[in-house]
Amino acid sequence: MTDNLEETKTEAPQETIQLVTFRVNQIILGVEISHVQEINRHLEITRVPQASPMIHGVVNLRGDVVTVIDPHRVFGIERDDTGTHQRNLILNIDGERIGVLVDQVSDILTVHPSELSRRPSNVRSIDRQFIESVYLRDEEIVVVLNALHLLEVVEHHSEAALANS
Amino acid sequence: MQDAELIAEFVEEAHEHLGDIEMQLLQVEALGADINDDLVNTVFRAIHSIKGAAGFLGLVEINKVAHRLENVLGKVRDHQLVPDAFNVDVMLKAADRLRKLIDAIETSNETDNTELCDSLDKLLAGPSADDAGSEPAKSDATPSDDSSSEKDDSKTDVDAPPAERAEAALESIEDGIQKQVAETPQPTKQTAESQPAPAPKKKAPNAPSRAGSGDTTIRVGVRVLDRLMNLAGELVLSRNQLLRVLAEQSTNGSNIDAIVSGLDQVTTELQETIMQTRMQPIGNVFNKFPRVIRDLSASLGKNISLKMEGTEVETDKTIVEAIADPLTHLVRNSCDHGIEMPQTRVDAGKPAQGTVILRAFHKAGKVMIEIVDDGGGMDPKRLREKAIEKGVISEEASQQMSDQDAVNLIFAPGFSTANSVTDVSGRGVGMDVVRTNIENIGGSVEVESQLGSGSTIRITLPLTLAIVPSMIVSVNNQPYALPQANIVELVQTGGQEKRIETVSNAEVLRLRGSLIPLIRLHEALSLQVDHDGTVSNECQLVVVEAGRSRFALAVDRVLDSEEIVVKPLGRHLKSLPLLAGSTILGDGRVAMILDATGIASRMAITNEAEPQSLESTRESMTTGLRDRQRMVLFSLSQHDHFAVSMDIVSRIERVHNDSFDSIGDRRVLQYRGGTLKMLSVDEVIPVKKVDETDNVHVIVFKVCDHEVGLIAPHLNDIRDCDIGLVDQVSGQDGVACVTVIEERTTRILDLYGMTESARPEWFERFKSSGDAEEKQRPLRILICEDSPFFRGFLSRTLKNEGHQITECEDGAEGWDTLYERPNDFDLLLTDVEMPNLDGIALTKRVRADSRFTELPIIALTSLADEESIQRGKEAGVSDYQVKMNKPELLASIRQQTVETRV
Repeated sequence: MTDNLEETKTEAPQETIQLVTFRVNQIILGVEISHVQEINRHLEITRVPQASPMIHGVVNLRGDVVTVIDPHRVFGIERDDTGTHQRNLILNIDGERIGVLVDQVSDILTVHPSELSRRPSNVRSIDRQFIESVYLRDEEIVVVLNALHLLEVVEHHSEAALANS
Repeated sequence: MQDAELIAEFVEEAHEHLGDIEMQLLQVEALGADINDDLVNTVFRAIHSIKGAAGFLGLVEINKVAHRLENVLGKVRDHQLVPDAFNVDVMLKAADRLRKLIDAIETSNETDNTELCDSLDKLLAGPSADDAGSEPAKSDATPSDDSSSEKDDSKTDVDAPPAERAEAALESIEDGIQKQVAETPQPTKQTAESQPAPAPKKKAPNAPSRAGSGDTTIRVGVRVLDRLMNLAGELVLSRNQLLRVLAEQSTNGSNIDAIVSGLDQVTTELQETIMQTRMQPIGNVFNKFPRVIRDLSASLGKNISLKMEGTEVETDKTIVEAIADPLTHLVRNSCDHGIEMPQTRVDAGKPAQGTVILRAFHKAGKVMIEIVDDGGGMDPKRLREKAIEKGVISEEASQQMSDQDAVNLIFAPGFSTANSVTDVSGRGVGMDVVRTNIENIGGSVEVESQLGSGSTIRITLPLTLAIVPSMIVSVNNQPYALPQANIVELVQTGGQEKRIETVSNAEVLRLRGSLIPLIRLHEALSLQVDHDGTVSNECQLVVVEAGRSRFALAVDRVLDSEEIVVKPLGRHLKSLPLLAGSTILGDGRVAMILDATGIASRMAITNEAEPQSLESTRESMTTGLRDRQRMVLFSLSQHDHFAVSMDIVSRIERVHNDSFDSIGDRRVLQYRGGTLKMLSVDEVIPVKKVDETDNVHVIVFKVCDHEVGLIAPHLNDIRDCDIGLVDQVSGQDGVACVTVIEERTTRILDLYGMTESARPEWFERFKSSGDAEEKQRPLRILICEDSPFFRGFLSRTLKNEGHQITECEDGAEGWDTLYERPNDFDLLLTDVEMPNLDGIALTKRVRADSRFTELPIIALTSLADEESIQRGKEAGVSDYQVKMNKPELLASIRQQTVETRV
């Protein structure tokens, strides 16, 4: 199943930003919609021996093999074992596709840039380096991820793991 | 100011023009004074378009060089300048410069090309400078219509190019040229055989070679093709899935069958056709060699001609690109080391001109490339010496080596045959790199050489890289793909791993006399045992060859063979050394492709093992008649070497020297929850010295219900040893005999005899059980044992006890002896594993004869063979004894003969 995100994207007024929000354990995260290619249930994941623990495995995305990362391991969050709402969030960042195995996809928020606070120091749920900004929604904090940096960290970690092995 | 896109287009087009120029200039040179107008026109036109476009785009330096070159070419075309070696050299240099400028297009305007332009101008101003301005061509004999029109054109172009006019003129020429191309379907093949100046007349009409791409091709982006490939691959997968589902449901509806087979066919054809779009003629690589050879001949002072065959043979683009460097290296090598100096050749009765042939052809679904030279060839003797000197192989291995293997030593790492380093073929670091590069694209390389008459280097390449025939294997229920190119054979162990042994803590597979390192896939991949308790049960072995190393890979199951489409992994996973990529299986699952080379280097399987296994296989093939025993070879020091028959060894452990405890003056090892009694050779046998080492090996064996560990400071090897020539019978306690293994005097231990000397108390009960008169009673014993070593040992041991011995070499001889002399024997002592008739079959035969129902039969075996003990008991063996366990054997003989008499 592929949720089509194209429609909402085109309707949005230009000044606002759209965020796809999702849950990793109890933490609500968001990523800019332009980085999201699709959300699917391709959960038949093949493990990759000796890959970094941050990498959950790979999936077959219509004939291409796409890496799927485990955000629990990346952010150091405990795993939520319910699993029923798990989705594979496929990001497309500068043509590179990568899957993020999230516990639940929440909704799409349309926010104004002024509503975002840049990297507040009081957020402790995940490492600050991944945080682009935060958004407050009904007493709930949505952590907006820096997707580019996320990939870099995973890559560095993979290289380090390789060097150690 | 300038459109980047335009520039990019110019670069691409210029490359295409320049691509063939080198070849064409060389042809022009070969024809010498006998100028082929069409050929020169082709070159002229190419340079002309470069000049025009460069001028338009403001690339002044490119324009300048192209302009000068064009002028010179114009003069050649007008038959006013003879394209001799010197002149062509300058033109080639100019073409090289243009290529360089175009490669760095942004900075081209900042370069200084005055010197080159001057030398070009000098050619132009040469002997016939006076005529340059006038109309010289008209007086010449042959100019055709379009060439003269072009000449006018070129003259007007020189100062201010009227672009449109030039364009129109060029088009007409192009038409002419293409017609010509169409008439000469295989131009390169004929023209490539570069002819010396005489007798060029016949060749001349064929000369206008591969002018551009003609009208049958179209330029397509590689990305588009890759995407097409991907989709075609997907279609193949979908088809596979469909086939699988239909096969499972086993529908007998013939309609569906027809549709499916149609789909199958179309898909296959589609895929093959798309694959073909990636195919390129090998000539694309070959074409640069005429120039290479020309320059090499000059710099080496040799006279070398190049012949090329099969330039039209096609292979995958990736392979064509990847083969360029290794091929260059090999061709350079052939010129540098292969072809001799002209005088040397004449002295050897060969023509002064040496020949290098580059030949490509298809063979058995592969592309073969041969580089043949008629040079001095390689001297296997010298190569052997060199290899020993460089430590590439041992002296012993070199003697075992055939001449054919010896010349292939040039591909061994760290090997060079050049007496001195030349700048042509480098420092001899190249050949192993050449081999590695070729192997990286799934190919192989070998060399054949005849001393005095030349060498042939043969490269075998796959047709394509995109589809890889593979075996799907599984471990922990996960499928993995292993390319079939790496697979040597499959070995079924059926869960019983009796062919798997341990050498210094590493597992090895014993396969037809050679030892192959064993790697368990789940260990190599560091897979965890699944949380649901699935323990991997590796019962299939795949013998894998990666480069020069060979190993056995233990997997749970071998599932299927499948043609897989390689899918690249994302950048986060790209550098994993054990994986070569991924693929999508017929059921849609992703499977990792194993990289055999990566696994080998990861598990530290080096090529060291290779000469060893090579040698032992060869030996075992050629010397079937000699006595071969598996021996554990160890040393106490450099003076004292020992061997123990592997048959009586339970296992070998490696322990730290600190792990021993002392009880009184005896050492023990706390081990696996128990205490292992230790024994050292020097307790019984006099030795010069026992080395102190941090780690020792413990050879564990069983004697009289005691498990004993023999301390071996240096474990050298476990291998099949030839001990058929044993003639020295040792009088020493604990030494069965003395022989020479690997040029070392080695004492073969009689472990039981040695233990008896060292620990007589363990043997008390055997002594007491037989009283004196029992021992005296001589028995007539028939021994069947194929190994002369064991036969001799048994015979001696039993003769010393006063028995009368008849020896037979195998079961068949044993049976004949017994059959003919049925009343002559009190006891049959037989080995189990024997040629012709083995111990079990012999026992069955003996028991089937009513005369022998009461004859005691003692079978001799090695320790680990529970299964054959069971089989033997069923066949009617009275007792089993371990080979060389003298006390227990004697006890058994007594017991068996007492029973029969009662």
